[in-house]
Amino acid sequence: MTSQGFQGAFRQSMAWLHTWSGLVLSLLLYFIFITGSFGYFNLEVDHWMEPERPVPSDDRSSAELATVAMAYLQREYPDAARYFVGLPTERQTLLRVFANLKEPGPDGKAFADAYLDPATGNPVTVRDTGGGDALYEMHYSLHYMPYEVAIYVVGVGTLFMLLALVTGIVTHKKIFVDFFTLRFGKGQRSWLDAHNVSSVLALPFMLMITYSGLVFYTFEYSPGVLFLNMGIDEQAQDELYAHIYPGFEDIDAVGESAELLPVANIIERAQQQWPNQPLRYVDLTHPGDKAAHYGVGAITTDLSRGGTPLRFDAVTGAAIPVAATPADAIFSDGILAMHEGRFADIRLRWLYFLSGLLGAAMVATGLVLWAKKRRTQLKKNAPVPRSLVFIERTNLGIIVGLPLGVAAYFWANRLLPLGLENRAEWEMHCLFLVWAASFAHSGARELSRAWREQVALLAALFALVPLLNALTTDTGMLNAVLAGDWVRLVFDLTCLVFGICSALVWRRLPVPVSAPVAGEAPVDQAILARAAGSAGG
Amino acid sequence: MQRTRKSTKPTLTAAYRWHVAARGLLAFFGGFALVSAVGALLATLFERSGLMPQAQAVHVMTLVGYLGWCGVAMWVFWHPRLGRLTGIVVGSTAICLMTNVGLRAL
Repeated sequence: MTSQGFQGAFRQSMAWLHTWSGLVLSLLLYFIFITGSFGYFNLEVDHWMEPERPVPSDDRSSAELATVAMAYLQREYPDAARYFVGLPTERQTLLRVFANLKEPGPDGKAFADAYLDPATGNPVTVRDTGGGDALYEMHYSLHYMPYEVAIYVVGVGTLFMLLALVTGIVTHKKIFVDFFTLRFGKGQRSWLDAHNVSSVLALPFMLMITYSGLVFYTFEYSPGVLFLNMGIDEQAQDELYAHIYPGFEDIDAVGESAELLPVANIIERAQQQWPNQPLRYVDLTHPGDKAAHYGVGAITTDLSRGGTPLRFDAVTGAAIPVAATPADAIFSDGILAMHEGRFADIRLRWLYFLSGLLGAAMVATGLVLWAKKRRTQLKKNAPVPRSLVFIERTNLGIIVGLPLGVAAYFWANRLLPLGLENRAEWEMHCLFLVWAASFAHSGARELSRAWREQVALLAALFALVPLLNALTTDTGMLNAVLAGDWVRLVFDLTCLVFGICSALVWRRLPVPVSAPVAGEAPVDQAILARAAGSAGG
Repeated sequence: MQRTRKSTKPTLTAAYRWHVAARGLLAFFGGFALVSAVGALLATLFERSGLMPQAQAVHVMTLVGYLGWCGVAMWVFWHPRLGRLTGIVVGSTAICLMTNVGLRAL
């Protein structure tokens, strides 16, 4: 291979591409890693952010629970097109009921949902909160942006990430050695080691999560082959999706009313087919119609998103045959299951979560490394380019500002008045307002002071979450222990640990130089050099 | 390209920036066009040879296409000559598109 490529030899060209493909959308990638990581504990975060939820104590059978839930749905929404009942699981301890309405309700929504207490069958009234889902959904919907735009922005970011990962691997001469190398107190070298370790340690996760992120929107992101060979009309899409998702084909209502079998009967039939799998949901499409049918899904422990559901004719109880899933659909389903970790037990879930944070660390160390490298390349007493000062300051807003926003989101959940209109939306506003304030603070304050102040605030906000929880609800750590409410207890402890870790980082940050000698730039340079050395060791 | 190879400290001229932007556009859009055209042609071959049904061939080639795009993007940012590179990408895309249209018309 010739050495005269775009940026010199092949490896140099790829190193250049690695730097820029990683850097250009780094803010987006960091945001995706931080918020996406909460997806592995979205239901647990929901549980903490809705302290009104009862601690589960019911051990009724799936058939009993489904009967209670279906009765509730039929009573509250008699004219619905579909009912859905999410059965309690280890992670989701309430009964979730959902109805697709034929006509939008008074609130303009074409659906209605609620949580029921499994013990009583009554709706559980919880505070208006976005919970863990709102946090995790942001990693692909970006919150303030229209969904159709956001998924393409995220898609471009994901492609850049894929490129940065592959070129990062190609660039590495000693990937195995780098895995074990973390030299402290060596300035720029320490940041490079930290970047390499965080990248290589979770490399399989990074590759999987990036590629599978693209697979979620396979034909939205890359419609070329579909367009060229099948067209993009509705018929082509129906044919394609029937191939990829067998068992989900629509069965139209016929308009004749009929007596339906009770849901308990269907649950019994499903349990005969899946004797060892706990059921996850049951749904009823076209209730009251002669073409009504039940669908039943189970909790899966294999590499799939939930598997093909069982379908039953709701009038006769006969099983509706489902076509076998083709190999390519099994592959894409498995890839998506790996992304979501639906099959993961609690230990694997923690591994997923920490790998996601390592992804964020990879982006953060890459950002610091880039700025640090530019600093060391400056000639002595040379003016510091504005672009470099801008990057150094926005780095702080990105790296510390977003976790500050997340902490503010949890605080807002406890402190905003319960009767506040659009309360859930205001929780999210708090996240972004604090994040924006972090950027403003990074720009206004001397840089090393800004680092210390923001990291100190981060440590305080997270470390005080257990106290805040104990003062504002009756689900504090002591009560959680007494009630056996381990999810809320572990949430509080995790915040405490994160706060302590942030405090340890704060202690290692350099104390600001009080008397600048020759303008801001040289001071910043000295501070950064010390910061790199100090943070490294 | 305005960036001088002999210089140890490259000058980031406007021409160099436009050159990088052109490579970026070629990598992104040209990459997708090439990968889609090659993928469609291979999908047609798989389908017509009875290897797999049409929907499966389209799905498989789209899934593989992301990796292909990554390879094309790397190649675009390595190949030294942008003009020749553009010719290869556009030409290969056109040949694959025409062959695919011809095959599907048979």
